[in-house]
Amino acid sequence: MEGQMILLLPVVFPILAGILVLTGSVFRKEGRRASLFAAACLAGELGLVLVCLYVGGELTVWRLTDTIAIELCVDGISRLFAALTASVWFLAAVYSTDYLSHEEETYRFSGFYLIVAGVLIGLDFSANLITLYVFYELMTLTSLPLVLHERTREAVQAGLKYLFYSVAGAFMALFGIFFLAGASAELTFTAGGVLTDAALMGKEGLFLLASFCMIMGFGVKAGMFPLHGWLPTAHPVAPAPASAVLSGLITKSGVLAIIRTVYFIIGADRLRGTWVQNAWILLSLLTVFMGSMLAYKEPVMKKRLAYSTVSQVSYILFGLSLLQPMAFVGALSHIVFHSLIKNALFLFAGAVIVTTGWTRAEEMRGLGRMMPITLLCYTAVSLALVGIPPASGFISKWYLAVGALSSGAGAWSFIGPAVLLISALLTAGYLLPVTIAGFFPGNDFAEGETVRGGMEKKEPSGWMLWPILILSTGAVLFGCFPGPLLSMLETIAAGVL
Amino acid sequence: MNNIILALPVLLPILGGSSLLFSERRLRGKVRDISLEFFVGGLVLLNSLLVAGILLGQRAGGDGLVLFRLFSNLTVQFRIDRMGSVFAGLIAFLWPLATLYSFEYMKEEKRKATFFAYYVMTYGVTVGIAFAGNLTTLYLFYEMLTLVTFPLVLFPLSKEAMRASRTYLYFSIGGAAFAFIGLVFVLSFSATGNTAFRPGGVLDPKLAAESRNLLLFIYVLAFFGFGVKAALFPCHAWLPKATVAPTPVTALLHAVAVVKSGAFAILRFTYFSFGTEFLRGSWAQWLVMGAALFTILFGSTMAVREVHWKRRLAYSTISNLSYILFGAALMTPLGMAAALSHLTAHAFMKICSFFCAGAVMHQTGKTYIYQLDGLGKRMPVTFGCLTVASLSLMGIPLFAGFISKWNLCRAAFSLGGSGAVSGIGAWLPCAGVVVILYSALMTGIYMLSVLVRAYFPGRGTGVLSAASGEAAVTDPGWKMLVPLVIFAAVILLIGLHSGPLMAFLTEIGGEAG
Repeated sequence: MEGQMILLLPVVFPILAGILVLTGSVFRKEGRRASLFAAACLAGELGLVLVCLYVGGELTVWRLTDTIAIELCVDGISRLFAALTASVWFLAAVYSTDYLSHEEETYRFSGFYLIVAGVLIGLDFSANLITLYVFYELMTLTSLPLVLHERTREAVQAGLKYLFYSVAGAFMALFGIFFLAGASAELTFTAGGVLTDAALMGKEGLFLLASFCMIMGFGVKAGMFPLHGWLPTAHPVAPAPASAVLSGLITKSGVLAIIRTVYFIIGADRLRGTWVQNAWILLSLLTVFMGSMLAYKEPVMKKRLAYSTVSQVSYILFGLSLLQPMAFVGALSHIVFHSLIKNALFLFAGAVIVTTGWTRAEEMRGLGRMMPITLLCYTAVSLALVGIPPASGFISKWYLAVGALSSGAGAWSFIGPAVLLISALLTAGYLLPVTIAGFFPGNDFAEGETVRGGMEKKEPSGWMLWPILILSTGAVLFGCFPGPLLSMLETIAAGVL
Repeated sequence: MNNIILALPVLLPILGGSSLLFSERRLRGKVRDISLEFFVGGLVLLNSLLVAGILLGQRAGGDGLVLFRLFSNLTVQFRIDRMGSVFAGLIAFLWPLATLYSFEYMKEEKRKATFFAYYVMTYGVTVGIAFAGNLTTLYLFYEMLTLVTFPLVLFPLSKEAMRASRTYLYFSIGGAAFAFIGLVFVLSFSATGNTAFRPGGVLDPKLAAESRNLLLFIYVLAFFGFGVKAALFPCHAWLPKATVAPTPVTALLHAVAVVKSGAFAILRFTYFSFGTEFLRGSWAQWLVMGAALFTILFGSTMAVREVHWKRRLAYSTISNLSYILFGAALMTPLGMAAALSHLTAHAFMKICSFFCAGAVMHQTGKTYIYQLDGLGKRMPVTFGCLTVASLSLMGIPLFAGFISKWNLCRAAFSLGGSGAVSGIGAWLPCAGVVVILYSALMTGIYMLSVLVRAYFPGRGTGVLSAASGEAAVTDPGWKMLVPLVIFAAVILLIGLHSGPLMAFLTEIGGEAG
């Protein structure tokens, strides 16, 4: 082990804490104790991550063989992802302390929730492709218990589907990794790529195939068409805090892996104008449109949000596929915004389920009378996701559209923004009716009131409300004051493109 | 006859085992069991120490030992080289642990002495295969292996076991006949006048070039002949049937000793008798590579469809053995090293998986996957080890399976797609990588679905089994747990620190390829 030892701490600490929660009998008896302990650990984890981001540096943890090393480092991309992961993970943990009091076997949920946090930070800190792959596989395996937590038949089926799709994706990516390991002795992430022309001589076709496999494979986690099928099944069956982080953060790890592969190993220039880029743009745009369409038609709230994730994460993929600096900045900023927004939305849906038991969108009529603050937060983040200025979604979509127009990717530079616009309309179509019906249930609603029982004010408890409030404030504020974030992202973009 | 010590680890278990068969034993009851365990355990342990001593003592190998001459140039000869020592070391490590496991597993069995007699004899025969210095000796012990393991498959004496053992016998004898043709041709085309193994092969280049196609055809015959033991499609059918045998047999013999003898024999005659120089780029190479790839596809797909746990693992063995054969069929130094690394890694992973299945059978009597609901909590150590073995079989990094898969795919990519070979050879190795990854996905499905069932039973099922008195199910005794934990630890060790092992295997590949 050589280098900055402290980088190992935020990876190992939550994993150990998680194992403690899983094995300790103290936590087994009293579920709430486990989730409170998890939240406290994650607060510490947030501190640790921030210290690491400040200190920076590199660390070689271990060499599996002479050529395969587990290495961690902190650079611009890992700063962005790690800070986002640690803070959102903590907020969802705070929320879960109250949410999970209705669930059984809380210790198992909290234990694995902690472990996944460590694995994700490891993923964000990965300094080479193998390390990334190690944490990527571990992430799939350790997040599985979160998906099938309820242990109903449906949940177990969904968990298996999640597992097999993810593993299939990982192995597709592994094909590319095997190829790249042969083509380049070094797989350390370097802005602009590590491949040389000489190494690829005579096997260009295979190289493009390998690149495509990696994009498709890692794209499974990001819900990219045609391997998106697991996402709308797996996200809604998990408990709300888990669906929130699955949708908001774990899908982003697929994005992270693609960024690392394309911009830090392969090099954007090698893909520009090839069939790989065209196929990638096509698939991401298809996913954007299809996801919004399915979300629009979906009546169950959590499923609707899951389809929305399918579509929104592909905004990011579209931005990345253009291989253009502006679009790259748009994609990175959308990672941040979508994370905050989607977490807030899922936590909202969970809060509604806990207080009222309503799961379908049309049931939420008159919700504004019961939970005005919660619904207000929902409205704010919905507007942000639709992309109404000055809320955050507008910034990222603006950059994406401008990037697309100036990318020189042929017809795509017009088709892309058009698809984004249509999808934004659909987003408004599937999110805002809840707000409208919630605040303005209409004249005939008085009758329904008696049927459903009391409609007195019943906001969720502070444990649940504050995380939602903070997330939505973040989503709005980043839109009003995007300066520092954007300038940081532009620095990253300048490095890789 | 100065290297007589080489013959000891072969003859000692064979003689010791047969003495068990013929000795009249007057002891009764518990004393009888204990004395048997002491005798068998001591014998196996002593033999393993002997093998370890020999391997550490004489790395160089020297001339070896000519045990006797059948006639002029047909000799039974032992000689240790690096490749043989890998296999012998593996066997010597696994056998004592597997024996310890069988003591517990066979505790209630009446005909224990017979079982252990053959179990011990097999040890000697397998060491004979590892130490064989020429193809004749290899062939001799290969046939003997069939004969001493046949009673073990037959052991339960049920109708199913009779049928299975008969199938096993027919397939093995038939395969050996094809292998024999290979032996005859190697002898008559040999440059040295005998069949002694030599890195790079023994064929006389001039003679061989004249009847190249005939020899290639013979090579394919011999490959499939030896491939019977390595469960190569279409000669695999005996293996899933043979799972009727007691678990220690299935685990040690039909996941390691017997099937790996087949793979070992193929590596031997490919790299040390025919020589890769002669075979490389020929139609025979692509044919056997194709067969290996098809077997991988077939085995892993069938494993997913199988719901009987041990049979599922047997199909998994079929597919994994062909990983080794694929490495062998690459016919490059890297391919050889990769094949040997998978030979080593798979031995630990598969014996660990089988022993877990055996532990569950022993404790609960459950043999089908769908009966395993919720057992993960009741038998934490067993299923912990199974988790390690499963992840390793899938090829998740940090576990041994990833290292061998990594080597195989690297070797495949360095042969295919490099422009060095044209035609079918340019894409078949790359297709091999795809096949291996497909198989890895299937492995994920057939191994992890077991784990998910055991750890996360659907709601309701867990309650039912608690009501029917199965709450008392626990981990087995230490005799079964110690081997399991050691195997799991080795899997992790190879996965985390394979540098020295790979350096050794790469050297073997370098000299043989």
